[in-house]
Amino acid sequence: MKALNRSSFMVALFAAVLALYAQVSAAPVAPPNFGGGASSQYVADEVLVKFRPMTPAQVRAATVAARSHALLANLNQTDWVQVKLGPGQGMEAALAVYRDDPNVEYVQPNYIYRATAVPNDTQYGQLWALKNIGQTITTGTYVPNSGTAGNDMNLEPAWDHITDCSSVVVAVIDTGINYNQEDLAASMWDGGASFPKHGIDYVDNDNDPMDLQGHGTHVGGIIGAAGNNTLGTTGVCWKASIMAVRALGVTGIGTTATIIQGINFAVAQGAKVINMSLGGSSAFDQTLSNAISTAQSNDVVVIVAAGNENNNNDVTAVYPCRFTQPNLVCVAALDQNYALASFSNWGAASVDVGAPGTNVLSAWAGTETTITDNFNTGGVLNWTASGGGWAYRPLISGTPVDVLANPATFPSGTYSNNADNRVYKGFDLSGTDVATLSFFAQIAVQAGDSLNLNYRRSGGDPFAGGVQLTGGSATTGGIVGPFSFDLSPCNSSTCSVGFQLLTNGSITAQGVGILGFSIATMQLNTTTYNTISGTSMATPEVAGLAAMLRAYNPLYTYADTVNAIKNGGRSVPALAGKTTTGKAVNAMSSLAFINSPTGLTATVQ
Amino acid sequence: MAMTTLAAGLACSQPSNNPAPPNRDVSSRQTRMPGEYLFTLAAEAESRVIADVYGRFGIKGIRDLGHNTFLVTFAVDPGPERIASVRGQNPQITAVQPNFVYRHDERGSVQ
Repeated sequence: MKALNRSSFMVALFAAVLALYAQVSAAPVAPPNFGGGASSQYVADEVLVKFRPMTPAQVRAATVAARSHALLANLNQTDWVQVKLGPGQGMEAALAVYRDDPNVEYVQPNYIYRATAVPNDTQYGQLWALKNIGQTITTGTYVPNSGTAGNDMNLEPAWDHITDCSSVVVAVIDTGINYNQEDLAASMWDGGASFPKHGIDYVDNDNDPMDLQGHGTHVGGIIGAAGNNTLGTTGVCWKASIMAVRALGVTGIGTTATIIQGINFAVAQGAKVINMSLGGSSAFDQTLSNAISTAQSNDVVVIVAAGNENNNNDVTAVYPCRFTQPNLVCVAALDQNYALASFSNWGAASVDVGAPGTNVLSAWAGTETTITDNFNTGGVLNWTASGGGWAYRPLISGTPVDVLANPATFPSGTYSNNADNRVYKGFDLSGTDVATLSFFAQIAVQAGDSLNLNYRRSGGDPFAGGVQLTGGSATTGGIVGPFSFDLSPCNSSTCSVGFQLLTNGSITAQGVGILGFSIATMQLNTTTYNTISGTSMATPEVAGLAAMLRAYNPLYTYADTVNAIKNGGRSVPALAGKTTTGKAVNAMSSLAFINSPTGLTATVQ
Repeated sequence: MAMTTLAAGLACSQPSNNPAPPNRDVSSRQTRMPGEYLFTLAAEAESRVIADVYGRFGIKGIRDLGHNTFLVTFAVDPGPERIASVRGQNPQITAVQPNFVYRHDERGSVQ
């Protein structure tokens, strides 16, 4: 931006900020136009005039009449009158003529004052992040689920100035978005004929970013669930343009490849804010870093989550939070008392700001059920087994644990050579859109042997004509690990799932112990909401604020936006020494923040 | 024995006579996708330079991700060290790294 244009912009911005805080004062100039706000700042065809003391009443009346104005009222304040302008007469011209009248001491618009904007969404009272009155979040599972009034993003006064952020496209790189959800359908990015479903999917490599897991829908709702529509929740923005970029699968997993494609798509399609409520890799990811730098070169702000491991990110790196590009803001989670959430990562050098991240209510992709299985009835294995090997084994050390084991003595002993041990069970997954199989396992299977996991939609032995989910030799290094698989294609009433240990005649190993077996299903719909906690929830609150700032200030660069977010925040003791700013985001203060002018030079003459 | 500790990682290998399993969001606490690597090539370089150097490791597929970046999948994972050790054989291959895993962890109660 050239210096002269930058100077003109800074003057206009400074005037706008003055109006945000200004009391009625002796400033007889036309007020700034707050286009996009909830309503106008003054009555369009009225002015308030203060005549000089001792001006006769007939002189006052004549002064008003000479301009074809009407005297509405003598205000209950000495020498003040309320004047109605004539048809088609502009405010600026009216102010000028009264200013030049020798009998007039002062003139101003008749400003409008109102209670701060409050949306009428039915669940608004549960959105403590937007307005904290100390309310109890009835669906919240994080303790505490009530807090201290005033600990929120200070959005209500901000909404007096802007609620519509739809001029700024926000890309949500996540599990996708249920773009039909009742509170999100009107907030989705218009991708035209090329992207009719409001985004793209790099997990299945198609143009349908439908959320099959829920997380991305929740994030999208925090940013821009339709506000003031008498249902559901509201986002930071009452109106938004949200681009759905599916880069995480049904188990919440994505990769560098899916994410960088998502970032590059978002940049190419004109997004100016990217939300990434995800983390991973403690190793520096150069390719992902390059993609964020590409976003920076294209003036895109990237908001990312600090992570939920209760770690110091300065010591135990989590990327992308640990990247240092200036267009990146990393967000920690606060609870309802504005303490650092117990799960939240922090980092005095790597995490920038805090935002509410516990017991956050927002849209969800559908209804969920969970099928659990403990492998036994009355202590007897109730799965179908063939070829021997598999057994139900209750392990008792403190809390009893139900384990599907091979060999039966696992973790003692070793499995048999030259074996084809199969065990499976049928589950009714009919009517579901998504199914995710999860379990924990300790595995020690030698090279040359194979532990296979299969399913079969028509039921029966999944190792006779079924589909393999995974297979091969493996070890978990002597400890238990979590596993998740997409079981969605098996959505029938007769879905069978099974494990097979296939061994050769050489060295054996300790075997397999499986526990915590469950199948989570989802049926997509448009009316579900969910309350969850995480830095994933804090992140889109800041992304929504970034969109608000860029919509309010169309000439803002990513640097201006990031500065306003960081410097407009509110100092919070829990974040001192835990973040670069020590601040929680504050929407109203960020709107009012004045960025230092750049590109200006001063010449003393 | 109480099995409640989460694993730090999982090492998997595929016997050569078993078909490769479909990619179904296999997840433990692995930090990278086994057998998958991201190659960055010099501008105007063609993907065949990858096959020229790495073909002997058994390439299953090469996918162009744009911005001179290619996702290469190997039938058997050579391991990051071995992948990195031969990169210098062609200067048109400017960078190579594992395909790292990213995730979200939030859960809650659906109403």
